[in-house]
Amino acid sequence: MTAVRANIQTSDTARERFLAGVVALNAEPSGYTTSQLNQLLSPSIPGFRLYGVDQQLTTWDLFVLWHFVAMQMPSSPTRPMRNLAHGGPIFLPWHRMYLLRLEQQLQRITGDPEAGLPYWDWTVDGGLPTDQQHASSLWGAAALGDARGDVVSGPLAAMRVRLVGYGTQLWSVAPRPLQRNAGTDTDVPGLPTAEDAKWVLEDGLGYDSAPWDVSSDGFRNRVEGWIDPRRVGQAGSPQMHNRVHVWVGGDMGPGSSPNDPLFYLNHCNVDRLWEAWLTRRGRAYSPGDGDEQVPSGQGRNDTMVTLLGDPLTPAQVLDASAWYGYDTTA
Amino acid sequence: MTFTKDDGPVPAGFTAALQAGGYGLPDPSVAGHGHAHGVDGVSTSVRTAVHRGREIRIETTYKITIDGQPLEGGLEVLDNGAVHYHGLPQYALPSAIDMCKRVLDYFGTEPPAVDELGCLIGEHGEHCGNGATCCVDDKDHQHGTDHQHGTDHQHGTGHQQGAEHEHGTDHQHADRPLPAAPVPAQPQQSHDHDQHQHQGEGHR
Repeated sequence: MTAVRANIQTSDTARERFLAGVVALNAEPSGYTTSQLNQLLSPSIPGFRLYGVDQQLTTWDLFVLWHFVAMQMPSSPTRPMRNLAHGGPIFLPWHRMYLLRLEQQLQRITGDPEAGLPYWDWTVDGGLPTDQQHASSLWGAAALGDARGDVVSGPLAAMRVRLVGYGTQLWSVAPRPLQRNAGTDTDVPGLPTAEDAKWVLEDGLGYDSAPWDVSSDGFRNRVEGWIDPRRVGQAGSPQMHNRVHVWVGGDMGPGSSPNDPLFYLNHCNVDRLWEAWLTRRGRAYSPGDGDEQVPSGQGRNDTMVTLLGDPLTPAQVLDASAWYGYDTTA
Repeated sequence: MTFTKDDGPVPAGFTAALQAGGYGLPDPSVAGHGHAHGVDGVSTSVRTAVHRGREIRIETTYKITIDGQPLEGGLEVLDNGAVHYHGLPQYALPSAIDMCKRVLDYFGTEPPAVDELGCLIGEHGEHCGNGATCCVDDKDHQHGTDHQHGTDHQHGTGHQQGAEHEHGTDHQHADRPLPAAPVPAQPQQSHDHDQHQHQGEGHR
């Protein structure tokens, strides 16, 4: 069976199913405590440790842990911000695998084997005046809840954050509501626009290029959001995927950003853009066998960092049609 | 291990990878703790480029303190000159000052909880090379005779060891680093070295 991924702002069914599913996963005991996880992971990840309070974690929390762990894993040679999930060619395939595993958990907990993760096409809200973007149909009690401050309205008011990034460490904290600061960062003028999406899908643009990092030009780095030469004088300012994280702020800022279901809506839209690129350019991935400076763990047939579900390689996720499809990639 | 396209939800096997300690991880014998972190507020990044056949190499070192205390976690300079901090992975700001302000906005100056977890049985905490407190195997850690502990040593918040103690002259203390150096609790008897700068040759 194949899930269909729909726009959360136009599909009531997809939105309601997603909200119910994430709240249920956030409340479902995983069977693991923070101290047990330290015992499990310390042999294979030297130096890694959860800090804070010892408590039972939920299925949702395990996904937060997984993302944080992947972000700590080095890829040689060392480059700024490059790890085994970000800042290099692995960014898109790793997150495709990660979203797939959450989607499968949503299917299990909602009892709907065809439930698809919805996406947030933030380029639509990016077309609104900047002072109205945090008040679009995505927000409010009928949808994702409060855009600013503690999330105390809507279904997501029931969600609790238990693992938080604190600098470069992951801490277990007394459960608290989600927190956001959407549209309050003066350095980020607004969400990405439809023009930005056209630019990342520019004709003839390859997937990635040497040195395979945050300075590379290619579809991956444009959509991850580390470069945008159109914005002269704004070197390094967050674009596309990065900009959405920064624009929402709050729990979307640190490496524990999968606490907020918005993380999955953002990445599902990124994955949808990737699917559009794959459809146009063929199901290609680089670096390939003949390329130089290939970062470790980011090759086509390298096993990607996995804590939940079966591991996959980039090559295995280039065609996702057996798992899911999008209602539109336009 | 099989890779199939119909590997749908199988609750019994969903955490099998976690039970196995994860798949796709770097070899722990060579990987250390992930990316490079700064130590005691000092972090260095290197940018290189080749132009007209000439190799350009720019090494940038930051030594950052906030209220006199070292900022841990490490700042990196991207090729375009923007500054990045690993704890805020999507941010790249024009200057280190801007990044420090953002770190304070996000994380404040105190850990988000009291640390109750401590080290595993057979381990104890010490100041590790990534700027954070690490737990290491007791059998891998031997002390030199010139490292003395007394009775009035003060540890940072979250430290729950019993007797307070002081150190010999070759063992200096750093101020509490911010924000990424919490002090794990120590549930066992062996002494630890949380929050210390190890400067004496006799200390190992």
